[in-house]
Amino acid sequence: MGSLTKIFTNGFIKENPLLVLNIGLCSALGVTTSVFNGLGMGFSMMCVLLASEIVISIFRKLIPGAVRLPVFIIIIAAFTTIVQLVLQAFVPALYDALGVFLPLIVVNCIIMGRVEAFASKNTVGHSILDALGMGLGYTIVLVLISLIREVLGGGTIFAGTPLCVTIIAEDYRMAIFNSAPGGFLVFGMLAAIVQVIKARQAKA
Amino acid sequence: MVTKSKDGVGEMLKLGVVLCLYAVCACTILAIVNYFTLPIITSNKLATAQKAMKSVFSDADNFEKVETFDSTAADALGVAVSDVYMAKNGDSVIGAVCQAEGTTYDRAKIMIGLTASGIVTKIEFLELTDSPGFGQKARDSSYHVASGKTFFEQFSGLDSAKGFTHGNGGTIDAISGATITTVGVEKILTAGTAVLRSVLGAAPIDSSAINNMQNIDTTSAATQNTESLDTNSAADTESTPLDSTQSVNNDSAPADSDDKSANGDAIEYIESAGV
Repeated sequence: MGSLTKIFTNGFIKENPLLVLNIGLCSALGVTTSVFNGLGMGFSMMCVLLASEIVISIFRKLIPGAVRLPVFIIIIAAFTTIVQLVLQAFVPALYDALGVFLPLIVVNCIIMGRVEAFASKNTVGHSILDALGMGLGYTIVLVLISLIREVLGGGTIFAGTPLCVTIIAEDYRMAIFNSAPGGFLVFGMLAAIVQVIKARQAKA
Repeated sequence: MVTKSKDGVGEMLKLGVVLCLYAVCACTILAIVNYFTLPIITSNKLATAQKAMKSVFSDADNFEKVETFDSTAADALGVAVSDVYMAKNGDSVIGAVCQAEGTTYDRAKIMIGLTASGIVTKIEFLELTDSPGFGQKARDSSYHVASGKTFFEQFSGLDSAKGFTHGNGGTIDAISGATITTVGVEKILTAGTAVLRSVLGAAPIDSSAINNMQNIDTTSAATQNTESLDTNSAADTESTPLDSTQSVNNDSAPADSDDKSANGDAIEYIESAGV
């Protein structure tokens, strides 16, 4: 049970894909202008990651090493397209909001990295835990970044949903948080906090 | 994982067949998912279009489809105009509605309503896949341009004969930090209203407006090297990071200084038109 917990929690702090491994940053900074988008992107990525890791883990002994990367891409692209079609059919608002970042999940380094480093070498059960841990770690960071950027830059929370609430008046919002520099600032602060936590854990 | 490799044509063929099998399985599953989701997606789009038609032309009580129309002006601008309907109140034609799709930072599809005298009733975005936080502001009802209206509201009541331009002497306000999207929308509306004017028998738009719009290149971001794999190109107000000093190759370039953020941010974003 200890090793299973370790696999699951690996993606939260110790090997958080965004803040520690620094992979999959493109979408993380591109869509985190609102919590709705961040949550939607995180959930979509987690679905693709989970499905890809399960399938690749099941077929890991049937995938020749010489063509493993093209096979991984085929599987990841198929699941990304499925998520796209499902969102377009059942949650068109999120589909429109994510825009070009949805098909870009195919080339998200987190998915390719985890299927290559973990799913292709481990059992289905372990791969499921790894996918859930990494996906949740990614989603939590996305939501954190989105929360800070949306509140400080947009002045609202849950914009784009019926739960939207205005928190900061338009005159007092900091527009920099809606753009790339603000995104990097927030990301850098969170990455620094995670390093402090890891350093304290290492000392303890 | 099979890692042993052998030389020989046979091994290469085997790898090719294995790859092919995986591709066939993936495509089969995709075809099944598409089979079930396509009707829902189609009906979503139809419902959105019907709702939008009524919302852009609330005075009309019925719409009659126009089967053939002159799309020369739209073709010249690279805009696809479709679903042209005459808006009627009883039997009298009071205007027309169409859908126009074209390139913005990515792509946009807009429903346009035009009265018989060439005044825009309203526009509505049916699809807009531009960057969240930037081009997406075009359809955001919480974002306001300099005039205090939302970006899409400002088109209501405009005379299509005067064209759609931003900047000094222009007819609209641009989206702060998203000029490519603004220019793309102007192009789409110029094309759409040109078609509607021809359908309604109104005087055609001055050809210089069409020519000016043709000189503006809003090549889709999906076909440019500045695609959003680099977050700077998507999040940095739709400009390429290294090309931030290039000016837009259009008549409205000097007016880019007007495109400041609503909070009076002095940072000026100049986009490259790109090819």
